[in-house]
Amino acid sequence: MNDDAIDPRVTMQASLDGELDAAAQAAFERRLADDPVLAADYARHVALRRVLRTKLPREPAPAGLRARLDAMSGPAVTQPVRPLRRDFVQMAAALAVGLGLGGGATFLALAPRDPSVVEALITAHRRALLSGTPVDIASNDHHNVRPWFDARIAISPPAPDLAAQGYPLVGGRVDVIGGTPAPSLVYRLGAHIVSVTALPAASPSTQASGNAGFQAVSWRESGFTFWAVTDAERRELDGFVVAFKTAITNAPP
Amino acid sequence: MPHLDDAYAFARWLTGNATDAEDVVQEACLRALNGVGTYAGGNARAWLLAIVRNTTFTWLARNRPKALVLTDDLEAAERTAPAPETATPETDLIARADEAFLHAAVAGLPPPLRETLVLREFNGMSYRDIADITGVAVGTVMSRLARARALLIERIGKDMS
Repeated sequence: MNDDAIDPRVTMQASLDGELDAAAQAAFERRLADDPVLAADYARHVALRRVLRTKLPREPAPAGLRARLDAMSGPAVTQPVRPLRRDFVQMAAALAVGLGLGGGATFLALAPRDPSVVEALITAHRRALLSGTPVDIASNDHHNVRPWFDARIAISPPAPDLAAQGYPLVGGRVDVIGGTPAPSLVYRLGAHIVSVTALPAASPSTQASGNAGFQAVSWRESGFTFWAVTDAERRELDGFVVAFKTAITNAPP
Repeated sequence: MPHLDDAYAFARWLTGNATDAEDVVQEACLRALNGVGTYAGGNARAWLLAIVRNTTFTWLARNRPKALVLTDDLEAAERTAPAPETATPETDLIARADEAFLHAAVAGLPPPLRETLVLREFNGMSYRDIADITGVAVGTVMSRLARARALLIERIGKDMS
């Protein structure tokens, strides 16, 4: 596809909205670096998005409306709605099992303290590496990634900007851990990537484990149990985790 | 009722006021509950928002006939919206825009641009979903978003500097 044939203004919208695939996003970011006029326009669009979202927050539906609707839609009527949501959860679970078997069958020799979670996390990371596109949304802007998670799975984990520390954000994806969708942030770590998955705070947290060239570290913070998984070396991962923790502590989301 | 906050936020921007939005959402939710059999899979939130949008149009036609702009007028309004090129406010200026100003600027967008922007920024819908909800092609969604954002930036540049 010839980039020049597409109005850069339209490509810019798609980049802002996280609608470009990883290759197109990378091409756009290169173009942004070379074109100061485009970069200035992009900066204005980013500023507009921020100001719209921070100063025009959504009002929740009035409690009276909610109550009226709940009263009107008795159990007989609401019943058909529920199976839809259950179907979705079952579908997600089935998908996770399918992917786990497909991508991680050779990779079940782990013996950490909590095998299921660590296994699922490493499998998810490994699958992401194998797929060639480690992210579902490619964006180096954490202001894009958080709303994307929020819209999809109603969880918005802290996504610190670590570009200055040498860990640029690559994007985000949704993993299914223990049958539940979980947000994973993907950062670049030298020649490798690291997946940071935010699980509910009640999830088990073990110190660290490594297996088959993969390293996993977990810690609790901001109401989440974070897991960082990478194929890089332990030393590099530790450096990343320190930067991530420091960024969250210094700038609470 | 799942996605009620989304439905309300969308109706709030489409109708322009809280009371009308409540009426519209109530009617839309009842339609959705009764028509749950027509749900053909896919994104349930997008399905509900499409019902909210259709309900808004019929509700406005019934209760606020003067406020309703017909489809032909919408297209004309979209065409005549100037392509902004001149105003290039600094990002600092954009960041300083206050709530009332922004609200008026978004509310003042031509309706097709406004609903597209609202679905994207305040409902967080994907291009595909916006295209389904508003019944246009994905390319049209992208160009409408580009126009809407450029108009807002231009307005900030013109009125605030």
